[in-house]
Amino acid sequence: MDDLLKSPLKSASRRAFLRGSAAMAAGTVAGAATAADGPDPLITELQDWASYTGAGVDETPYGMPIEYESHVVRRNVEWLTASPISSINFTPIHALDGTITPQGCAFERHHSGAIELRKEDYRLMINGLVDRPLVFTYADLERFPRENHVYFCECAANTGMEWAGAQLNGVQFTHGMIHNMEYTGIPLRTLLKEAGADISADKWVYVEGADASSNGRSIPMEKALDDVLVAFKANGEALRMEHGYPVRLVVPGWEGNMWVKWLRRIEVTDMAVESREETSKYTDVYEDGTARKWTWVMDAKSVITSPSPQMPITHGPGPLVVSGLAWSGHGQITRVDVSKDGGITWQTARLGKQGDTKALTRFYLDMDWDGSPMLLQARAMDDTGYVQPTKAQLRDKRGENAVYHNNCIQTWYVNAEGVAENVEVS
Amino acid sequence: MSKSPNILLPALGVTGIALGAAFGISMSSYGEDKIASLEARVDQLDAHAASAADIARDAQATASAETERAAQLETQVAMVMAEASKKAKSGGNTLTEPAPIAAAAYGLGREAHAEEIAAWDVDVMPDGRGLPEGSGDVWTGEEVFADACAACHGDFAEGVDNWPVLAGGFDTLGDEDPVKTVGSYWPYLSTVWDYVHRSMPFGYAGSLSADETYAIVAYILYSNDLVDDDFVLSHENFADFEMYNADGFVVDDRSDREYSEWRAEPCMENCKDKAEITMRSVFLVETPPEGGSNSIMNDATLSDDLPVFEAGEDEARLPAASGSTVVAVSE
Repeated sequence: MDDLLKSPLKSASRRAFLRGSAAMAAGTVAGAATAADGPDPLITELQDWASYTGAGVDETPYGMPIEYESHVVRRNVEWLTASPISSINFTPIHALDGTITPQGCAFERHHSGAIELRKEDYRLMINGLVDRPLVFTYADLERFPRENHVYFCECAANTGMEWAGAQLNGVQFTHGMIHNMEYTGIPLRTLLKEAGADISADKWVYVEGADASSNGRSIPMEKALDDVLVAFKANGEALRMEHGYPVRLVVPGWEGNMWVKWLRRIEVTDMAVESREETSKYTDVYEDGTARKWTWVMDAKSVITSPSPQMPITHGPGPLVVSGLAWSGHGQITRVDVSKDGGITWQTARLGKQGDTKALTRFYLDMDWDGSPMLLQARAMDDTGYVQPTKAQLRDKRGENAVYHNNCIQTWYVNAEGVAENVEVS
Repeated sequence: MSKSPNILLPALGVTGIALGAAFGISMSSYGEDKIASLEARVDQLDAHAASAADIARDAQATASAETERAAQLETQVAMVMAEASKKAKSGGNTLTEPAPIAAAAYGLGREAHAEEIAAWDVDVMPDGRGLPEGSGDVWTGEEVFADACAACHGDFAEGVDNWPVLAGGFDTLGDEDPVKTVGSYWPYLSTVWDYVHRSMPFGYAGSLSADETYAIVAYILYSNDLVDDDFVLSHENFADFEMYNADGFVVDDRSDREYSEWRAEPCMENCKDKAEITMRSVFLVETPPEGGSNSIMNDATLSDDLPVFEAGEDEARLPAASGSTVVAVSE
């Protein structure tokens, strides 16, 4: 990293980056002026695409986004982790709209890499405190009654780099460890019942994956019986390899690490296993050195996805759509407020639709931007009455040594040119 | 004649639960008036119940009136709950009707063989249940560790590059940069054994024998100065070992610590006197089209041309030398 900092090349490219955003803004204004000056050749002249034929139906049996959208991809931050095999990348939420995340750009988090596991080789075992320890094939799972639900999956470390201060200049990197898909799966309670599990309230369900990390986690029985799904489809099609093909666990509203991929075993136990992922990781240290564990629920959170550092305002003053995402692991998003002055005054945004429980909600604030600087913030509320806290409120309660569960209000500084930057405000 | 309160109190209990549920679901958009009227009724009934208790001995008429009210209230509660459940279904993220729950098992899958369970059920509980028989000493552990672990974790478990540090860091958990190692942080020894045996070494998981695992764990304890060099770890003495940070954890306390304060109507105007930028992003992230990303330091500093917003003014001021008001906040 030191090399990066000293490199004149990098420094030059940083300037190019900054200039790029400003130039983009200027360029668009100029473009609009040209069109106003005279007839637009895109309209007055016959274009190739209006004259020649296009691609045939079988050109891409499984379609990919058009090349002009090739920048809308998952990205990682190379210095975050020791190896890309045990690492994370980020959903390009700055460039998406609506609520559903396409599988192909939904963030990945692997502890020992994404594995290729054929349906034919897939086995799911239920054992432990059950009357009948069972083994299911993939085909068996398809014969249980199934349900469809849309849920967000957020890594507990989402926004984790921002605890100490404003770090990464892009909503993809500050908030992109999240995706939102429509899952098809079997309620976990159905499988527990099939095996004759002891479902008394003090029991636990330990789940693990078939990959080398196995990533085991303990889930209290109450949650296991509530809304947990053993899922095999997302957004209507098979799960992607990187999301646990052929079967993953869906644990609505709870931290993504518990959504075990390549699910191979469900064990009913009489206590939490206290695995590596629920002791040494996914725990947070308070200022006095005490750590908290079992912080499963993802609290209400929201962020403005546009404008944002990767989505500068390029059209100049006038109508502006401020857009963002909100979610809560406790239930539905009931309200999102937006501030343009760093939190002094707030106005209520328009929700794309009434929020689904434990799913992403889209919000919009349709405004007439006069070209003056803004300190943009969003603040979510959920149906428990919880209000998304400021960074200062979170730090007051938890100190600065936390890693996980940072659901603070994010601030983007938008300057008069429309360029946005990740900042902290007083 | 204490009959009246006995009927009423359970009814009120149910109402309380129903109101809680309905309120949670309908916060912003639905049924406030219905809930408000129910709440009013509950208050009314509370008062009546109290007075009914006092005058119960000669208030047959009152009691029957209360019974009637309780019945009415129960009907209303049933309506609210039905409405709430309908709402939960439509807005509450159910794309399909709930899957049926079979009275008997579906009879799918097959019984697991004992050998299959033995092959996969290898987790170790905090009390040591699940450990196989075996043992390993520190010196054997040092050799195995050098071969299997040191490439990432270092010869002395000090960690290489970004790979985890396994030793040291004692009493740093309250510092600015806590060093969370097996010795300083991990609360259970079972976790170490389980993880090493099941998921390590990275790239060749599941290849370590039980004895090798005991030896590696013994060496990690030694590298943390938690045992002497003649220490032998086995399934027999495993449960006796208490980790340094065994009492260092509390269960999620957000409900008391945070939710109790943060579940309140938020401020909308004049929420603070001033908003100014106190920190700018540390890293700019470039996004090359070929994938991945490069991050570079943002050398922009806090400067005079950053805006400051103040309560009571609908303008952002630039506290530059001129001190002039430059921009107005759009509404």
